[in-house]
Amino acid sequence: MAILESGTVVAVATPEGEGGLAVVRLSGPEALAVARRLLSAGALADPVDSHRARLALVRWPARADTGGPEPGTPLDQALVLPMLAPASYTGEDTVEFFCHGGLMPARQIAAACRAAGARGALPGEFTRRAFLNGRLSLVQAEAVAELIAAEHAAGARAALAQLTGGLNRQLAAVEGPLRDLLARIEGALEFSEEDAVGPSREDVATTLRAARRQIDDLLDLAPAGRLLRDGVQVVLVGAPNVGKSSLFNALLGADRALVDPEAGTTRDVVTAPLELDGVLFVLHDTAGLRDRAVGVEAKGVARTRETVAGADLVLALRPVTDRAQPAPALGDAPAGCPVLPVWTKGDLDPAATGMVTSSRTGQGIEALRRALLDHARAGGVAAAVARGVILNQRHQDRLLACRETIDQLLEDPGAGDEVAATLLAATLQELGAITGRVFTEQLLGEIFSRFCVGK
Amino acid sequence: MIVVGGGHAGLEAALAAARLGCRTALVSHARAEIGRMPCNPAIGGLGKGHLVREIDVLGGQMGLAIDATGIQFRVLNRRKGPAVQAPRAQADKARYQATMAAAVDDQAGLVLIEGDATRLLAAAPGDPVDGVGLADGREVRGQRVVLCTGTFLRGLMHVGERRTRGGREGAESSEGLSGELRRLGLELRRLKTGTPPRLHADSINFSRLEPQPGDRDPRPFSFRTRSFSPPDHLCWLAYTNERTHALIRENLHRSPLYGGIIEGRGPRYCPSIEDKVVRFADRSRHLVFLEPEGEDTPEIYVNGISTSLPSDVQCALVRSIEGLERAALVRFGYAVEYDSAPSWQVAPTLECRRVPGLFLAGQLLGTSGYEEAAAQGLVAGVNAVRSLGGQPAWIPSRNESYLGVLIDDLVTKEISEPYRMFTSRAEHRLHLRCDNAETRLLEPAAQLGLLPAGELDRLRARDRARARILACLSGWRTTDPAGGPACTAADILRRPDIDLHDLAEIVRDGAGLRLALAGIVREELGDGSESLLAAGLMIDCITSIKYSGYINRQRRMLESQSHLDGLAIPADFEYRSIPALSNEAREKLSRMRPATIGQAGRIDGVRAADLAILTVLVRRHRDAAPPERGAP
Repeated sequence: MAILESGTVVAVATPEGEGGLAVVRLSGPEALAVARRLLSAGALADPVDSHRARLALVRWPARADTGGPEPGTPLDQALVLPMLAPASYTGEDTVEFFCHGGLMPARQIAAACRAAGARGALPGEFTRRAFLNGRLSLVQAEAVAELIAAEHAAGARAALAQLTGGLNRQLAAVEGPLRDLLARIEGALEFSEEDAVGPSREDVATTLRAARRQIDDLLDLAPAGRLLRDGVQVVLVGAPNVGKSSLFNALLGADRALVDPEAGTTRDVVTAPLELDGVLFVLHDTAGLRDRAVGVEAKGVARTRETVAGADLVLALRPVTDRAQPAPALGDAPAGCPVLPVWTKGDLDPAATGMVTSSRTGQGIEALRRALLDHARAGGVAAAVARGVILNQRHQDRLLACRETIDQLLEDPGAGDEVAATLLAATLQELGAITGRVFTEQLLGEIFSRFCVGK
Repeated sequence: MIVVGGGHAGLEAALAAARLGCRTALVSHARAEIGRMPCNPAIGGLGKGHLVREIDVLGGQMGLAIDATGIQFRVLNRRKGPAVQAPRAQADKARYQATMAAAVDDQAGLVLIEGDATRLLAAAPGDPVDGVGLADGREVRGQRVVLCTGTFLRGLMHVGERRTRGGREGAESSEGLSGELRRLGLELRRLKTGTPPRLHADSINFSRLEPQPGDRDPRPFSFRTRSFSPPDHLCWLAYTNERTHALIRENLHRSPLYGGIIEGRGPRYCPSIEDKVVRFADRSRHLVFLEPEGEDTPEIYVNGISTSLPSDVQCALVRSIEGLERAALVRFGYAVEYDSAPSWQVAPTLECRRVPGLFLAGQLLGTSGYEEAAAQGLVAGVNAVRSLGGQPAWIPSRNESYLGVLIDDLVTKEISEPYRMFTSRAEHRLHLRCDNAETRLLEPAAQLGLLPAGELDRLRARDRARARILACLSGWRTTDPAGGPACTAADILRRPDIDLHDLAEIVRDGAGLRLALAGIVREELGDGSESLLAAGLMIDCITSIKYSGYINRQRRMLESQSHLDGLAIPADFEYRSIPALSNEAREKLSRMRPATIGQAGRIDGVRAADLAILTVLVRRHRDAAPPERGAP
C-alpha cells in the first residue's frame, strides 16, 4: 500500500462542474518554487507573507518540462494564497489558486503546475499528508472521507458530528460498563485466595444485555448511514402512461424526463437527485411494467425490475380515472420495502381521496414530498443526525463482531469466568478499533481507499 | 561469564549458562545466601505458577527444587477454569536453599565465588563490560556479566523510625554497584517492598484458627519429577479486626510509608497492612495466612500483614488477632528500599542497551517475586551465552508463554511499581496454561538445548501421544446422548461439565475408547512409570478440546493486532524527526526503541494515531531499502 508519496503534488480541489470559483491546491516542499514559475516576479514575495492572498495573473511556465501552450501564455487571473508549513491543511508548504469557475481555468492551472515540476495528486493524498503531518487523526481523516462522499446537507451534518466525536461518545457509553465488569471478573480470578468476590452470573448477564441493547441501537442507525450517504432510493412504478414521468418532473420541479402521451415513452430508467430539507432522495423514473413489451421496451422493463430491487421506497402509481386498475406489479421489490400508493391525474376526478396528485395542477405534490421526508425520518435519518452517528460498513462489521461475542457469552452457560474475561477483553479491543483508539493496519487501507482526487 | 547474585534470578542464569557449556562464575556474598527466600515461604500461584512450569520445560531449576522441598502443594482456583488454575507450594526454606546450593555444586563448568561485587570492569560508558571487581580487590574477568542483585543495591530497611542499611535482614547492602551503573550511563530509581513479621509456632493458639490443608492429590511443578509424595503441612487462616485497624490508624504517623520517609514506590497488589487499612477503610477485616517456613523451624510467616510500623506496634497489632493473643514475634516486618534500573534500558534479551555484555534480571529490573526473577534469569543467562557464540537471540513471544509476556512487558511498560505477573496480563491466556506448558514450549526447549537429551525425548514422546489422542477423540464417531445429530467424542467433551470419565460412559463403545487412549499412552510413554506425565497430558488434551472454540475465536479477534508484531522497526529508526508524533510518544519511542510496531503499541503513551503514522513510515522505510541480495 503506497500510503505516502513524496514530492510536490497538485490537484483541482473543488468538484468539477458549475460554480463561480474553483480551487487548485499545490502542496509539498517545492510548492512555492513551482508557484513562482507560473507568476510574474514579485507576485509571491520572498519571504512569503503566509496566509495573505494576492490577485495575480497565472501564466504557463516559461521553461515547461512538457509540451502545451506557448511559454508565458496567460491562463487566468487568480487569487494566490500561500500557506507555510505547518499551518496548512496538509501541514506542508501549500499554495492555493482561487480561479474562475468552470473546468478549463482550474485544469489549466493544475496542468501548468505539473509542467513546472509538480506531480498530480493521488486520491486522498492531501488528507494522507495532513494525517502524516499530525494535522488530522485517523478517525478525523475517516470523517473527512465521509464528508466528501456526502453529497447533501444531512449527510454532511452527520459526517461533521462524527468529526467531532459523535460515535466515539456513543461507544464510550458501551465500553464503560464492560470495562468495569471485566475489572471485577479479573479481580476475582487473580485474588480468589484473598477473598475477592466477582460479579454474580446475573450481574454479568445484565451488563452484557445492556451493552447488547446499546450496540443494537447503534446498528439500527446503520441503514440511516447508508441513506444519508447514498440517498433514499425512490422508484416510481406503474402501468404505461399512468403519468410516472410527469410526476417525476413535478417532484423535481424540472423537465428531466421525456413526457409523451404515447404509452411506453420511457424506455430506460431516468434518475435524478432531489434534496428535501437537507435529505437526499434519488428518484428513479422507470419504464412502465407491461407484460407484452417487446424490443427496446422489453429491455426497459428488465431494467425497471433491477431498479425496483434496489429501492428504499416504491411509489406505486395508478390514475384516479381508473380506480379499478389493479395495483402495479412490483417485480423484485426487496422484502419489507415500503410501498406508497399514489393516485395520478387527480385533476380529472376532484372527488378522489388518498394520496392524490396532479402533475398538471400541482395538486398533492407538496404532500408527496412531505411523505418522502416522513419516510426518510422513519428510516432513522433524523435519529442518526441527531445522535451524531453515521455508521459505515467498517463500523458496522466490527459492531456485529462485538455483538456476536456478547451473544456467545450470554448463550454459553459453560463458559467460565476466564473465558468471559478473555472474550470481554477481545470485545473491548474491537470496540476500540472502531474509533481508532486501538490501531489496526486495516484501518489505514479502509480509510484511505475511499478518497477522491483533490482531497 | 559472570553472574552476580545467587538469588532466584542468578541461579537460573548461572545454571543455564553452565549447562550451555559456558565457563561460568557465580558471585555471591556467601554460599549460605544461595536460593534464599527472604519473603514468603512459597513458590507458585496464579501467573507465577505458570512461569515456574515454563521455566521447568525450558530446562530451568526452580520446578525441580520446589518439588523436592515443598511441604504443601495446592492448585489454586480449582473451581475455576483450567487457564486460571496454577500450582502453589509451601517451601521448606532451608531445604530449598540446600537443594539449590547442591545444584550449583554439582553443575559442571560453574564455580561459586564468595565475595561482594562492587565494580563493573568497563572502561567507559558504551564500552563492553569485561568482568567485575570485588570489595576485597579481586577481579573476575568475563565477557558477559548478568547482574541479579535483588534488593541489595543501596538497600535500606525500615522498621518504624529505625533504619538499617542492608539488602535484607542479616545481609549487607551493596553500595558500590549503583554508582558503577550510573557511571556507565544507566538510570536508577528507588523501589520499595516489604515483608511481614514471623511468629514462633509454639506461641500460637491454633485451635482458634482455620486450618488450610494442601491438595489430596498433589501435582508436581516439574515434568521431570517422576515420583511424587510430598508432605502436607497445614497453613492457617486468621483475620484482622476493627481493633487491629484502629491500632494501625493511631500509629500511621510512625510508619515510614506514611511519614514520607520512604521515597520508593511499592506494589499496589501486595500492599502493606497500613495500605490496606487506609485504602479499604470500609472493610471490617482482612485475611491473614499463617504459613510454616519449614519442617525444622518454628518460624511462621504471617502472610497479609507486611508492615514497616515500629516493633511495639507490630507486636500489638499481631496480638489483636484472634488466636495470636500471646504470639511471640521472632522477626519484625520491615520495608526495604532499593535501587532498580527501569527496564526500558534493556533489550528483550535483557542486555543493557548502553553497556554491551551487561545483562540485568530480577528485582534489579523492577519486578517482584521469586518466579518472575527466575524467569528473567533464564532469559538473560541463555541470551548471554547465545550472544557469545554468535547465535541469534532467543526472545519468547507473548502468544507462546508467560515468559514472553513478562519480557515484552518489561521492555514496553513504564514500570512504576514492582512488577508482578498476573494471568490477565496475557491476552492469549486461554492458550497459556499450566497444563500445556510441555506442548507450548517443546520447540523452544529443543532449540535452547538446556534439557538433558533423555528429558527432551520424553517431551517428544508426550507430544506424539498428544497428537494421537486428539486425533482419536475427534475421530471417534458416536451418537449424541442429548439427541442431537451424530458427532464425535471431542464434540461431547466440549460440553460443560463433561470430563473423561463421563465421556467413557456416554459415547458409543466407551470401553473401547478408554482402551484406545490407554494404548496410545502405553505405546508412546511406555507403561507404568510415566503416570504423572500421562495424567498431565490428559488434562492438556481435554482442556485443549474444551477451549478450542474460544481460543480460535480469540485468535481471530487478535489477528488484526498480532500482525503488527511482525512489522519490525529498523534499529536505527529516527523518531525525533517525525513531527506528527506526539511529544510523549516521540520521547518514549526514542528511549525504549521497540523492536516491532506491535511493541510500540504496547508502550503507554503511544496513541493509536502515533502508531498509524509510525506504521506508514516504517513501511516506507522498508520499501525504500534496497532488497536483500539472494532473498527469494
